[in-house]
Amino acid sequence: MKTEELISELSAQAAPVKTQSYVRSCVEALLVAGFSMVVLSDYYGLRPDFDSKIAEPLFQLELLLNLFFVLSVGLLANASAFPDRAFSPRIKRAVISAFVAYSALILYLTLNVTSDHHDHGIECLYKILIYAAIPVAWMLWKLRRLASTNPAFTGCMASLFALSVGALGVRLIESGMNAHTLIFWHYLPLILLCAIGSIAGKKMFRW
Amino acid sequence: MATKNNQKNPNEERLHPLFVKAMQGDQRAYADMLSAVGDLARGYVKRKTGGNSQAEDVVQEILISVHKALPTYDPERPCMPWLATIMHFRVSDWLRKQYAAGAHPSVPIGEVEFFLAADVTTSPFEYEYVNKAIGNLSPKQQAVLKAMYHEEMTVAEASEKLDMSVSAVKVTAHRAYKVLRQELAKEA
Repeated sequence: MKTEELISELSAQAAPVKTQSYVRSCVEALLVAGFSMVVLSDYYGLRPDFDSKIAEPLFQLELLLNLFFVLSVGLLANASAFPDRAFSPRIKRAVISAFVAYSALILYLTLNVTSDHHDHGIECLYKILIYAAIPVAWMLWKLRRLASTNPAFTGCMASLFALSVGALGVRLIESGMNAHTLIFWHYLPLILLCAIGSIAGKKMFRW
Repeated sequence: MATKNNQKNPNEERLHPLFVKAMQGDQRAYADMLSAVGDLARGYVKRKTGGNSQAEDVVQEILISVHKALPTYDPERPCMPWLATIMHFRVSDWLRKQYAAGAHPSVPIGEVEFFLAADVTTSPFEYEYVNKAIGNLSPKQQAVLKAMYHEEMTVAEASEKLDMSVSAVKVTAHRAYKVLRQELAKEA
């Protein structure tokens, strides 16, 4: 087909275009994540020591940094599906800062906080996946309707967003903190699942 | 619409109003917008692909992508970063496919028909033609053609044997075809 013919065909389909708002896309993703957290935390019940734990500055800091990470990754995952926002340096800096700050805290807890003898295991991972199910389904549905110019990256970020919601949710329902097994059963599987999300994203976010 | 340094980008000034009107459903503006994008994309694709014969296909891919992705463009924002990202994405995609196919190049039949295995008993004159034309090529060009067509090597194998990069083999082969075409056209 000649290019002129293609242009005629495409312009014949011209109709008023409704802009997909980036801000709205982010808000929707965060609301879905919040909904998932509230419903599942209610179902499982908050950790028995929540009232005492929430008064501890270190735990408050952990939740805040975790939440900051979830927010920044959510922004980045959505931005990656808008061609002119995909390379936003500010959002990338926010994600990196959140990741570095949170990792530093986990490292500090690993080295300095006495273990509460809670050994995390495969059940933790299952709960993370359950928390992540609704956000990941939403991101898959929403971002496929947009225009990712790096499908693998979008897949990775969408997975990371959903899984970090899961990790945050599990911290609300599971008491005890064994930083070593936390890394092994929470964070390492998350990295692996994000890699899988990246591979899946190559196919799922093609357009 | 001004760039970061407050300098006016002529492409932005030309395209942005077309984008805005096109998104309002104006068919004429839509066609003008796609034409303007096509012109811009053609220059970009030519630079990135070295004037490959498939460049127009890539331009058409870009136009289709602009059409599909238009809902993700915010008319309050500049259009050039949005468009540039899509152009870069499609060209990179095409280049990736080309590199992946690099071991088995698809060469138009017209470029090799004169030296495919021919029945020499029916056209001995043509066989001598071709041999003479090949003899006028540089030693490097002759070596590349010999490896690819006489020894039936892939581009990757030929590059390894001749200690040349894959792109050097392709460029040498392409230049050899050009010379052969000219030589054989003269003889004809």
